[in-house]
Amino acid sequence: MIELRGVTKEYGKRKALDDIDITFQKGKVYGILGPNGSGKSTMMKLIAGLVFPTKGKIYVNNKQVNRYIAEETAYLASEGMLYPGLTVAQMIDFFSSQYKDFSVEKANELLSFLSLDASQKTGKLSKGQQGRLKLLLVLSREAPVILLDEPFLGLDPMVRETIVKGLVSFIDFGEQTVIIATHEITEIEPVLEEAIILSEGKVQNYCQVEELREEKGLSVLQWLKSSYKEGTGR
Amino acid sequence: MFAGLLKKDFLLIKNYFLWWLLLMVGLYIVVAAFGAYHDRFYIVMAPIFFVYFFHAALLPIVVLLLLRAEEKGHYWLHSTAGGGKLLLSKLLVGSFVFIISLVLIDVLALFSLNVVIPMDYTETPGSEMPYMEGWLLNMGITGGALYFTIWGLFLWSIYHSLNAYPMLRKVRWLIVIAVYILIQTLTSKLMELSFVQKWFASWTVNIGEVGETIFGMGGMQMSVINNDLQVWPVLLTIIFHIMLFLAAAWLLNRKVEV
Repeated sequence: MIELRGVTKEYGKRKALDDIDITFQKGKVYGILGPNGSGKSTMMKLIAGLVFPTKGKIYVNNKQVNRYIAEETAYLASEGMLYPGLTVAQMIDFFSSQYKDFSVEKANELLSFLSLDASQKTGKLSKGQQGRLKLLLVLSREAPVILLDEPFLGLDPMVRETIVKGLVSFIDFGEQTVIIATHEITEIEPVLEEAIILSEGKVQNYCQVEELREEKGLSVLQWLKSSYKEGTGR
Repeated sequence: MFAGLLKKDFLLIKNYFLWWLLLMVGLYIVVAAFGAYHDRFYIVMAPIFFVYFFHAALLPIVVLLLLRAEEKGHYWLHSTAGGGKLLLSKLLVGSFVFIISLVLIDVLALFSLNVVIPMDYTETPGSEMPYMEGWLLNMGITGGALYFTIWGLFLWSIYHSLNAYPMLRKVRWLIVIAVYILIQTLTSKLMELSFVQKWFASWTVNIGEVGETIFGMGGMQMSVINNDLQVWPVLLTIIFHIMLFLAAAWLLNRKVEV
């Protein structure tokens, strides 16, 4: 379980997140939606222990978040993460040396599932291959929390589809809490259980995806658009 | 986990390291061949001295290259290793590169001196190989390299800690320079105090009859003066730099944000 209690993150005078209170339940798949600058990435980095809150507290499995929370959270970053001079195999080797929950067996399965060449240098990989490698490194961990920050950024629809298939096949549903920050909703919608809309650092709306479909007959994308309209008064 | 960090950091620097070693050997061969052809082999001593002194900058350069590899996204901070281990790995890999490079230049210097000394082109006492002076030179360069590196790590951590304050972002370099000047000024003022001077003089060790020696060629001279060594300043310098390293690790853990 992940709890954000009264969390505010300020960068100078700008509030990236403003007094957020959210609880993410164990074993569910959440989508954090919102436009650029809404605070999605900041929220992910706060949970990953890479950024510290200006006010409020964050807990992952009842432990207050600090740098060492990396032991329990597998984080896919939108930038960085890979060393261009290292090969795919060396990246896997490095990750397995850093995280106790890293499964080399799972990494090998993902390697063939995502059609990656272990001997290739990460700097020579296409953007799509890099996106897949990042996913491999994160999903190979059997961490209780998986954080995916913009996993589809700059990727073509085919790669996006592969990534979603990877999520469906390799996530331990019911055990791992997965939070996906994205503004590319269409592909990810089938795996989402709950969605949260962030706008200007605040929670603008929340929904349970199944309830939304069955009771209101709306897709997440339609719900997102209607929420924007309500939010902006248009 | 620490072994994994060391391996990764070595892989990040491996190519630069090999190119550097090749460059040193290549440069030496070219200058030595040129000197031998013109019957002036002693000219190899000039680049050797230059490369020796460059080693004081080599270690900080290697460590900064390793740090630069992490700057994009700072994913290395998403780690179960604390700031101390993350920085220590870079320092150790940098030191390995530094030591191998220094040993190589020592070998080249010894080989060259073996040729040059019998030709009376350099002034060494009794035309003997200056082993002791060589040791002192190595120790001095190593001390200088560690000094610049530890300061580099500390100031790098301050610089990146300030990233969280947008107002200070444009003047980060000025703040870093100000911190360096402030600490240096405070420590030098402290050293000037008479009771500190007396305290330093209270524990000395005679490092042996090295004798006052001067060797070298042209304007490049090294001098070793027989003297008692004050122990306290050495110990305090070591403790101070360990504290700087720990401060850098603390900043990395608590203040550097992505």
